[in-house]
Amino acid sequence: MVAGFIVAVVFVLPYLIMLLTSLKGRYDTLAVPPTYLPKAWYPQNYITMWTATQTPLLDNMIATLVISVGATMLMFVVCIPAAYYTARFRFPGRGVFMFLVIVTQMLQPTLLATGLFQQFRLLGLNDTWLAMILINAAFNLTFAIWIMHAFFASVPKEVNEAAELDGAGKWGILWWVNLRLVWPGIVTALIYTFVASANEFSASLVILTSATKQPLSVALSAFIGQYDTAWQYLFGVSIVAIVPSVILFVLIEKHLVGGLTAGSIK
Amino acid sequence: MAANRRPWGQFLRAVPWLVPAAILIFGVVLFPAGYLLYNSTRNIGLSGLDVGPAGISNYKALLARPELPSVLLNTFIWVAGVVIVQLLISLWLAQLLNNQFPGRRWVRIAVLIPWAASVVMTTMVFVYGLDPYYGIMNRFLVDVHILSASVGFTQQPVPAFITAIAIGIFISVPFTTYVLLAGLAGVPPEVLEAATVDGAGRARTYFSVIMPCLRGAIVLSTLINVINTFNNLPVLKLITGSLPGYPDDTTTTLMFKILQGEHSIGVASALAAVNFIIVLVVVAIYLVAAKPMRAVES
Amino acid sequence: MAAITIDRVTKIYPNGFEAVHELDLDVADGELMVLVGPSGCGKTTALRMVAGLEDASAGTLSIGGRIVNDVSPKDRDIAMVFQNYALYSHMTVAKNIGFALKLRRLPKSEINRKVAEAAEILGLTEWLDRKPAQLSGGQRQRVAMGRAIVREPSVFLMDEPLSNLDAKLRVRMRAEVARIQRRLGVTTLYVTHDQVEAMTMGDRVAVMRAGVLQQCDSPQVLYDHPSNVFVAGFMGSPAMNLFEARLGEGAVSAVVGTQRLALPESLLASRPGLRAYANRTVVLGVRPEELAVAGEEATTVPAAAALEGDVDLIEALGSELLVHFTTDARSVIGEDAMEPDAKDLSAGSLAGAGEGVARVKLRSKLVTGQRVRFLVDPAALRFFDPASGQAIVR
Repeated sequence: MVAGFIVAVVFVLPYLIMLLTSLKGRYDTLAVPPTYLPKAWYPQNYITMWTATQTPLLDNMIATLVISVGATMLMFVVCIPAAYYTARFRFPGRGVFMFLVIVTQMLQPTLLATGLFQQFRLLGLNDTWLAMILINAAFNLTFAIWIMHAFFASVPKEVNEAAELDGAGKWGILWWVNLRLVWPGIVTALIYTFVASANEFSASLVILTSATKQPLSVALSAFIGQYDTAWQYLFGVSIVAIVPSVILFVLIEKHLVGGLTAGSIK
Repeated sequence: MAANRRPWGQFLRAVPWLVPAAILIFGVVLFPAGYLLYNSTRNIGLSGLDVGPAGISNYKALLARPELPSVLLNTFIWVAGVVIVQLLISLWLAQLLNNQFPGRRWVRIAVLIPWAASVVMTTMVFVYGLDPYYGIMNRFLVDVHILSASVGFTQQPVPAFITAIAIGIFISVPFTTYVLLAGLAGVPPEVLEAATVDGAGRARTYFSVIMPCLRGAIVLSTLINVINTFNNLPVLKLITGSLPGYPDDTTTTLMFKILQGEHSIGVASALAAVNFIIVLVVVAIYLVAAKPMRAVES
Repeated sequence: MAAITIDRVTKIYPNGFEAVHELDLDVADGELMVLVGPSGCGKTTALRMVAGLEDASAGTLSIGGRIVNDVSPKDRDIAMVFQNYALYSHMTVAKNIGFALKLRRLPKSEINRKVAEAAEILGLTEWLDRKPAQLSGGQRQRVAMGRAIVREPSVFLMDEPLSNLDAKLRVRMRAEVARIQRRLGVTTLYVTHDQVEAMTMGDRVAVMRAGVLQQCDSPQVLYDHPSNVFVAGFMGSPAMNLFEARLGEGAVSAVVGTQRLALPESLLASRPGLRAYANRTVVLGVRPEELAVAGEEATTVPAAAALEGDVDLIEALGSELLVHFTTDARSVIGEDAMEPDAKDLSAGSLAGAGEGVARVKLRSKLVTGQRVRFLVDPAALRFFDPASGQAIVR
């Protein structure tokens, strides 16, 4: 138990520093030597930080939200039919499709950044949120299909057959029976995609070049190395971004273990 | 139905369900991969305009770069250092979290945080904390007498690289721990009981009974971690990016420097192609050596 | 209401395994036909082909006179009860039962009415708002039946619906299911591996083995006149005793081991085919209840038709005794006798350490180890060809 406590402290510490620094005034953050706790508390940072920097961080937060929500919704629509059908039915080409899905797990936006850069420039979509929505949806597809496939496959064959005999068509079986039974797996995949999209860095760096269009990950990184970095604002915004992500992850914590086990480890 | 039996009919009926995913995969994943391979053999101007074929001149330019050997070495140390150490830590941590103890829930939540948080944001804290002037971590290390004076962690190649590796480990442990926890959940309790009855000590039980069950989890998480670490940009860029030259670069960060700094898209693509091949080779070695595919495809 | 016709239906899986071989079966309108056999005999495959959940490799399937080979399951007007019930675990009992009606877009009031009716028949009315996880095994089984009943189909298909219930519940549900079927009069094809269910529930019973239909008759006929050794050994518990025997000159006697049973003229008259087996080995079968302990029971059987053995084990069932004995004849196992390469039975002596079982009245004074003499009514003997396993009748 002591070990557990130490582990927890180690993992929380950086974020504690983040929190404390976000509540410091400008002078405290840059004080030499630094102080652990703020000499004066500045909770109002959380209000001013959105517009205080040269490029408003509010724009970047909105960018992050639009891209993440868009990518998650697109992925949801695309991924569920594919995962459901490959889990339930055998058809020629199924092995090829599953192989493709696994192959794309190996390819990441960072690796393909140069290709993506040129491609979206060719399509006239460079520096657009649409490009990042497509990219995030595509690259998270494999993990999502992987998780959902396992959940769909765990629905007993007879339940699907019973629904078929009761008169449901394929969409009906998916809608009325399967989705209701596997929604934990679906929520897990959705949350995972949302958080991964929000945190994406490399492709966003290369594709989104206008400061107002960049998501938080890129915008924040640009501030580092500047002369008079307003750390308190950067950390404040980070806290605001991190807390919901952590809450979402905590919600799916139980199913993370299940989703990773089902169909992959054995 | 007759269509039930004919394979062509089966294929056609699968199409509408798979087409959207297939379009996304082909269009946004496979096409850029092919495109970058193509670009690596083209002359591309600074503005991004394709000027003409370049043959292998991009590759030659790449190989002629003096920093290439040290970059390759850095890459190896970076990946091996992060992956191996984080695996060992995760094995220990997963074992710890597999047992009930008061407050376990909170520890598990704490472990989740680096996974949920943006890598950029996590790294930012370290950049701030390790600043030699106002960095709070530096001050702490001095206060507990680990250091005699503040060290400019991000200002010299070796400390920066080590710091980057440490952060890499920090952000990789949560994922691996959870995968291992999933693997541990699959160890049947009867097997552990049988081992106890057979008189196996704790270490013996761990190595002979538990580890083999974890093999799938270890192989899978290591594969993903190798790929993720190899492809990691933010940690290295933020920690070592301010250093002049290329002392701490890996093939990935070098590629970005060539792309964004020098705007040599052709050479960057060539390096990307090399990275691509490295990843394929690593994956191939894994598939041959560890056969995790069998489990995934079933 | 509709009849089911299975005409020379075969099922061969892609890996070459033939699960069902040229099955011919007619289920009359309103009949409860039980399809019974050991695991892997093809009965479930046959049922699933009638349901449309598997395709037939050859042959035609008809329901109500209409060929349904190419008709999808939901258009065949059938309802199925699965072995594991296959309930929708996220829906209440009422919604489970009413799901098919909802898909048909019946008005809500009508759905509620029909669901209430089905619940009434099955005694589920007070459980309508529960979810399957809150129900016992027997209740879940009834919900599965409710789902089938409410659709008022032409045909019920049941795949071992009682197998997952404990023994006592199974006995009760057996009667329930039969009662409901009779009340609704729906043609039913019922698959089970339990021959007791087959005997008690079926209007007719079809016995299958290794994909081939062995015999299809009413339960009593199956019991009294099995058409081959397999059916003889399968139906009835404890199983029929089967021994190697050699018929004497003119088939007037049978030598079993070292013992001789005299066969009366009346027997040969009713089974003239036996004469062709004079001086040849056959398989002789006698049911446990046909063995009477000599001296303990009043019987009209002449003393010359007797079988001797040593008592091995006596099982007291409370209502009667099962006496396990060994005799010096060679036992035959029903399955083995059906194999084409059955060992050459006609050579050499017939002596062996055969085992048999007899049903004996409670008041018997038999003890373990005692030598016992059983009187056998020759009319109750069954004879089978040793190579083909077929019953010797004509």
